[in-house]
Amino acid sequence: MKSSAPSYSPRCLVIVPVFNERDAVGKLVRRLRRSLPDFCDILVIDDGSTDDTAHQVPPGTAVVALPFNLGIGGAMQTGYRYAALNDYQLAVQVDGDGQHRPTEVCRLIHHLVQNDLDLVVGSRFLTPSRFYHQTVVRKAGAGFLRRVIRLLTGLDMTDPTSGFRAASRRVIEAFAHWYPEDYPEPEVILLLHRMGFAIDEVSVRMRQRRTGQSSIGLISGLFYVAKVTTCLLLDLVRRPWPTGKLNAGAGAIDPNELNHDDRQTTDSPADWRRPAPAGGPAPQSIQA
Amino acid sequence: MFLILGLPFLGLSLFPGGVGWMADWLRIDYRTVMLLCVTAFFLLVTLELLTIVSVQDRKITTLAQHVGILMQSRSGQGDPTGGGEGSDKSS
Repeated sequence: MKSSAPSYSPRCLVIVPVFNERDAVGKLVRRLRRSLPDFCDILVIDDGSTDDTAHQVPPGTAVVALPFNLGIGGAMQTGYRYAALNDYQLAVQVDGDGQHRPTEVCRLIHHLVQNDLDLVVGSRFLTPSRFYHQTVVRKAGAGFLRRVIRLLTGLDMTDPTSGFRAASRRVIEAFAHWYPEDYPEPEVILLLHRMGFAIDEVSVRMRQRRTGQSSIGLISGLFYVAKVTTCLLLDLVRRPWPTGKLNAGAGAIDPNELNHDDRQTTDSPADWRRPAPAGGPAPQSIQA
Repeated sequence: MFLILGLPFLGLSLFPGGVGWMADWLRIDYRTVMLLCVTAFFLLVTLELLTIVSVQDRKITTLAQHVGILMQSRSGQGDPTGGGEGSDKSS
């Protein structure tokens, strides 16, 4: 049964990064197939799993198998690069551990398109819930990062570490060009805000993790907060994406602006856009 | 590059009194100043090496992403754009 699809039909890629999630990935993909509208495609990024995660993905689903583990940042950027190459107008991140509900994907897309936003974050805490519980360390860390982001940007993001997100074409191109490697979620909020992208939250329900192992434990949680806070402070002077033209509209990035750093190792955003075929179909309009 | 930059470290590890000798040779009155200069040099060398490693790491990441995407495109298995067999909309 398909969920009620919005009236618009942009091409949307649902990116599912997985690493050793053999027990969850098959179920998740089947749920996504049942829940997503027809304009959404699914792409599973197998981030160098050491088990048979890739074989648990139901046949017929696109899988990008990375040759070795790149971490969440590298895996997500692979998905955004794929989306940029294949002319997707929207992209949605869905964690492979099954915490994100496929039925909530449409709400993210709807909120993004209706309000002409660039990034929508699915928040577990925008509406208080008695059913979702976090450990004390996680709660304290997320609360601290929320305050840091509010201090640095003025944005009150109730769930800055949420990986359940929907992105516009402009953000897809920006992420295809550069994306943080470690713990990217809080960082990109600050960076996108500094670059003038429109960001908002929408309340979503999430499941508790039942399978696999979380990448954040007690010690690593403290390290995570310290590292992300340092990165956020450094991001105040960092310019990962070319300025100016990014705000002028989708596909308006000038590759010449990328020459500001001779150590640039990422490709020009223009390289991540496939030229439209001559006489091909015109892009579908979005009617909210 | 790494070997050349590592030579000063090797030299000082073999001759710990080298800092004092260099201070005398350069006619620096206070050996502590020479020690600070050597420390600053080592820090710069370390930062340079870290920068090189970081750039190479980015390149390897980009290469791995290219490989993954190209392998998927080549196999065409479950092409979400509908170009391959068994699109995920087919089931």
